[in-house]
Amino acid sequence: MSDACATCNGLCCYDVVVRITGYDAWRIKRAQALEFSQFVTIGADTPAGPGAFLIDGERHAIYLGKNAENARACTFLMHLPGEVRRCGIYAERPRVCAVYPMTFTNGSVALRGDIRCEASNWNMATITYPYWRRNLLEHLFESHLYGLVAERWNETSAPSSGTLPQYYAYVERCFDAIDARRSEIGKESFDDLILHWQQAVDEGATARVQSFLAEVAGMCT
Amino acid sequence: MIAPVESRLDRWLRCPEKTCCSYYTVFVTGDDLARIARTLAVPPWTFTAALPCKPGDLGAFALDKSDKRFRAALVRVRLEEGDKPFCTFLVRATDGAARCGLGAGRPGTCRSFPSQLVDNQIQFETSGCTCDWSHVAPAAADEQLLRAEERDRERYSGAVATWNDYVAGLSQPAELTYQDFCRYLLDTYSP
Repeated sequence: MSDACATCNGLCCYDVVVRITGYDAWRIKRAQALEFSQFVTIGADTPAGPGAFLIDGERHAIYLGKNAENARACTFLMHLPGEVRRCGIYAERPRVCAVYPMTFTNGSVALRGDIRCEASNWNMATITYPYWRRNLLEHLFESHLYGLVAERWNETSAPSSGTLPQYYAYVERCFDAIDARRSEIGKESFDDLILHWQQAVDEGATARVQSFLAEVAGMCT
Repeated sequence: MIAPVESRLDRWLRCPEKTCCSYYTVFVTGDDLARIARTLAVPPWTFTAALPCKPGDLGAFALDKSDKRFRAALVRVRLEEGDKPFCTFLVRATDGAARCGLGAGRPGTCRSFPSQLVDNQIQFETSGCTCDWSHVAPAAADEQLLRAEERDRERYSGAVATWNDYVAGLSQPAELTYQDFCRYLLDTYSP
């Protein structure tokens, strides 16, 4: 946890709608032994983003659920004495939470424009750029993977009236396979894929990324 | 049909009620306290409190030269007056299913729940628990965890004895605070 997060009171987990990927949901489900329906909310794909899936002809997206006792807070937010708030699924929190409050601006790591914590808490001269760059790339890569997964559902199952429980089961099967393949590839090689994604550094690296992404479609049945 | 054997960790993780997180007072060791504080970047006196205890209890520490002793325990909270208190680290899924917000960083006594070593044998102590433990069998890993906990408790006893000697040796009848004790533990358990 960074020093800036140590002074934070979880505003990024309050009063915001957190759109997550199927990969995030799969990770949380596995680590916490929960069903998707116990921690996500399905809402409209507004604003339109990657990973929109069709149910009954409508485009939907996955969002983190809210606390039953406090509809403003994320369901996983711990409320500690003294108005201190911390994430209760820190190790497997969604990628969009892990990269907050950073984004890519003109190819560089930068603070988001809509930051909810004190921007002055973040010293851009001392943050660890490779750490944030890698996490941001992983977030974008996983969002792209989830986009492919949802796209395939929209092409194959949605036209035959696929239901939400069927979509959940489909997402689970896909990411079981994708994550197993990821483990086979190994962390170092997978990091290499992420770092070379969208960057034509060399032909070999580009081919490896394309090959993996092509495999993904085949993993989702 | 014979029900499949489930692991202790799976059984605990899937339990939606987690009465163990409201039924018991969770006493922590110095290692628990320092680890949680560092992981969350939160001072330990925020999430623990000093509860009065007997002088012979494990980890009984003094804050002055009297016979009064205290133990460090996780804070429990109530949402509303009359509610049953529950651990401050408990989070709930949208349907109310309880999960531990500390995950793998939870205190040693929570990690090994409900196993205990009795006469060198692992037993499950599940009184107060609403879960069915009949299909769960102790595993070798559970014993390793309990042995590690024993070592942690021994180290903590030593650290507390050193603190109590320090308090007893103070020339002034100063009253120390729980925060002083926590700071001592953070120092003692520095990485």
